[in-house]
Amino acid sequence: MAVLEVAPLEGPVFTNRRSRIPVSISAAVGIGILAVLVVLWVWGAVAPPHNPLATDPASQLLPPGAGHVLGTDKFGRDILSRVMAGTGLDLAIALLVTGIAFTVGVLVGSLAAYNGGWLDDIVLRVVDMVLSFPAFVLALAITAVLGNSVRNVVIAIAVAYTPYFVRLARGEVLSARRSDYADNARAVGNPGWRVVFLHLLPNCVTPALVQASLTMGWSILDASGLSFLGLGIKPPTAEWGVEVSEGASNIVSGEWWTSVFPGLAITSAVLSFNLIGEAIQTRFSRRR
Amino acid sequence: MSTNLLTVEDLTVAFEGQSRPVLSRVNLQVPADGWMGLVGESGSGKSLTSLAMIGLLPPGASVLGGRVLMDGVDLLAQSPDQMRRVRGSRIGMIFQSPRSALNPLMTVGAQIARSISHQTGVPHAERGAVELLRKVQMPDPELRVHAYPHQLSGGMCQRVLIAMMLAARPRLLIADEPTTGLDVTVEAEILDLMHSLQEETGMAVLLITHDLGIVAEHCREVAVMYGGRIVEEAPADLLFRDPGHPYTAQLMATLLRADRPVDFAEAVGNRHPDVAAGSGCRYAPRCPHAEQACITTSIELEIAGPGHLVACRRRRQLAGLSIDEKAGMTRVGPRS
Amino acid sequence: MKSPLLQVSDLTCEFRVRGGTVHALNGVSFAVEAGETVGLVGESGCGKSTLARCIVRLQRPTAGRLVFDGQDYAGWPERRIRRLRRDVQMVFQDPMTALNPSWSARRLIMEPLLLHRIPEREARLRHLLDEVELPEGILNRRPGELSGGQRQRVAIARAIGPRPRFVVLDEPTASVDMSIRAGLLRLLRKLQREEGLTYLFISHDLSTVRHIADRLLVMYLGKVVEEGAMESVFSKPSHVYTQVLLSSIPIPDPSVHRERLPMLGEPPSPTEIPTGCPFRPRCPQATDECKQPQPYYEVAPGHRAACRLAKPAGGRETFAGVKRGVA
Repeated sequence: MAVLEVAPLEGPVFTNRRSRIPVSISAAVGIGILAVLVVLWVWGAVAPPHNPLATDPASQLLPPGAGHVLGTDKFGRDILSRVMAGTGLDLAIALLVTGIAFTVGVLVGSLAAYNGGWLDDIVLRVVDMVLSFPAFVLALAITAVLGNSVRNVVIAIAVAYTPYFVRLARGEVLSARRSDYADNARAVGNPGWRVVFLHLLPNCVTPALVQASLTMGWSILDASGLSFLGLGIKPPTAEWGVEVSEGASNIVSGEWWTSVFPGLAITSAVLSFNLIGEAIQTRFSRRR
Repeated sequence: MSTNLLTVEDLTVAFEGQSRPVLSRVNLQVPADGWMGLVGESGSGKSLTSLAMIGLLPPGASVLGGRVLMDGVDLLAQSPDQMRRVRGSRIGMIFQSPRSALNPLMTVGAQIARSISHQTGVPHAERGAVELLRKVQMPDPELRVHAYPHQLSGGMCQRVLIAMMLAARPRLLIADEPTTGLDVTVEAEILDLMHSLQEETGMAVLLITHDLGIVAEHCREVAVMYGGRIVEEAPADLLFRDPGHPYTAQLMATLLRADRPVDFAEAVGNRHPDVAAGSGCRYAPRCPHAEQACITTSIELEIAGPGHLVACRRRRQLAGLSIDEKAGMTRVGPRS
Repeated sequence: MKSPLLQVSDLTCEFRVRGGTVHALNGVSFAVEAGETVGLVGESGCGKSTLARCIVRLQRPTAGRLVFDGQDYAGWPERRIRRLRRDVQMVFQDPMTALNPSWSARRLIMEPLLLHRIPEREARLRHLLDEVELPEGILNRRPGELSGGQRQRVAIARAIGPRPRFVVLDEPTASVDMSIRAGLLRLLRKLQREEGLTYLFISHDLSTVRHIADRLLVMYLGKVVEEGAMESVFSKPSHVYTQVLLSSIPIPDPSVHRERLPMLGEPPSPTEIPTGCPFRPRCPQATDECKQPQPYYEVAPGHRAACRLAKPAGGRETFAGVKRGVA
């Protein structure tokens, strides 16, 4: 049977394409920094130059040099090894927090949007309530109540960021719910949950991914902020915020390396996640 | 035949980053009065041609060659300021989706008044706006003049655009799918309105559409586009009765008429869908009469008769065939 | 006499919107027999899209009955409706928006087969591709990578996969190029024969409907104003609105000149339905009599119109829900 059509003649007449570099420079920088951090994490886990917890009174406050590439702190511990260990801890916290906030948030948000009614109302009110507190303050309060441990820090920060995902997923699903393909999915015989999870969500996931990337960075800031203030994670655990806090008093006396290097680690981690998030945003919104 | 108001010569337009031009040596002669139809399906380039004519190509598109002559002047060579003056006073344009062409934050009266002021230099032209609305048969013009676009139906918005365009009294009106998406009764009203206005002002109309029904009703001459090229140009009755190009024949063979139901047709003969239409005729992959020469080299519009231009290498051999034969279709019996 | 496959009785559907209530359907009644194609035409605001959505229960009607195979499903809960969806399917207007853009054609066509537990799915998939005249190569492509006609064929294959008995087609050729339109209609006709389908074909384009439907329903502001066999309605349009509509259709033949019948006033709003005949404010032949609800008058066997001008000399009325009598 002869079919008259061939593939489309051209694309849509008004295609407006810019240059086709697959990855922008900022994305490359972001990924590059993250790669460096991951290398540090693995290196620190497998074969750190020194034991991050080993004190050495003879080697206190040595400047960067041979033997201690980034110097030592006031207890004689190797800064580089401590930064590596901190990388592992902070990245793990970031992953856990983002994982929890993303999963719980997207689930709750999309179900609330699809079902509407009282569920949606309750979810909205709770989200509004939680979002009325600045995330850091909320995490601070929760940690103070729950106690100082890594686990509680993760919970506290996750609670603070889940509402962002709830609102995001809810918004996306609400608008997608009215689309023709959602109607089509229902008309063909899909039950509600399949419409949401198999049809709607996969098309809504990009903004959530962007938010996830940003949340990775912010949770590192919050965790290290908490430990800098003396809450959450406490010394001698090697965590970037702890290290900055321990080294802060030394800046005045001129031993800058004790807090600058952990501080740089925090900055670059946050920067890298921001750049990656931005790159996801531009790449996927252009394709739409 | 009347003299030509606007002549498009060998217009070639491409988008950056694309190897093949999206408009390829387009030649079109728009007569100084009456209606001309520019027909094509999606992707044929008909809208882009009209945008190129008035200097409103989208970003990323550039003119690689050709001229658009009006009153001896090449419009493509004009500066943006000069083109701004041409638009409105010499060439007016109305589009599909009239509501989105209007400013949602201004009343329609204000927008028409602005159009009048822009053209005549007279400020505060609100009175004139009501008059123009009356002229375009808007019900209750004194009330409607204070309405916002979202308060009006699609057909009414199109009337507003026509009114704005009338304020300028252009010599040529380009109407790009002006009634697509409107109800058929509204469409008929709008087109009849445009017809009476056109007769009154003596302007020319270039109607761009995919709907052969309105072409048959309103247009005197018709040009057919396919793949960024004009493949045929003819007076309307000749185009429908005895088209010269296989693509036109295909359009005619697959026409559905409300007044006279036709039997369904099926394609016969060989097509070459895998052939990448390179430098040859763009229709070759779908054409039942394509030869090797058609695939490798393209052909320009040639005179096939008085007022009749066809861009087909094999037009002489195909000349005696029926429409169905030219289109490579055969009727498969009654509809049921 | 066999009962119809689908019987719509007095269907009403209203929505509350800001600024009032939209009365999309105001007592629509008609029947569709197994194996036939009923065409439904009307302009914007007539309620045809709402009617389509009510029939496939994407929308719950406010009142009235929807009887499929003898069962009234208008008020059924969603769970029960899902089972009905094996028998009643819909092809949407624009496949570009109606098909999930990130799913492949294969997944789209396969999904209903999975949902309704159709046995031997792979074989059915191949058979469907054959039926809708699509090459196997399109299976891995997404809707955006297909042409308009191919997309609509995928949508059709998706709808008829689970072997429905009744298919609502909502403007299926509206978003497709002209040269493809006739081929798609021919395909639909062929599928109807081979799969034993019954169609409700909704369109604003009478030229299209004329070539596929056996009977025609003309709607205006939520009511059926005229109904009858296609040839009968076209040769003897009896409601003034039908006459206006038919006179406004452009004919693609320069040698044909038609006189357009005008209407008064401006397009109506479904938030304010006039009393009596809904067309009254725009009708050039309206009288005071038209302010009363108009009964259907029989114009020819199986052809009725709700217009005083359709009244035969003897003034005979038919029942509001006309039974299809002699074939």
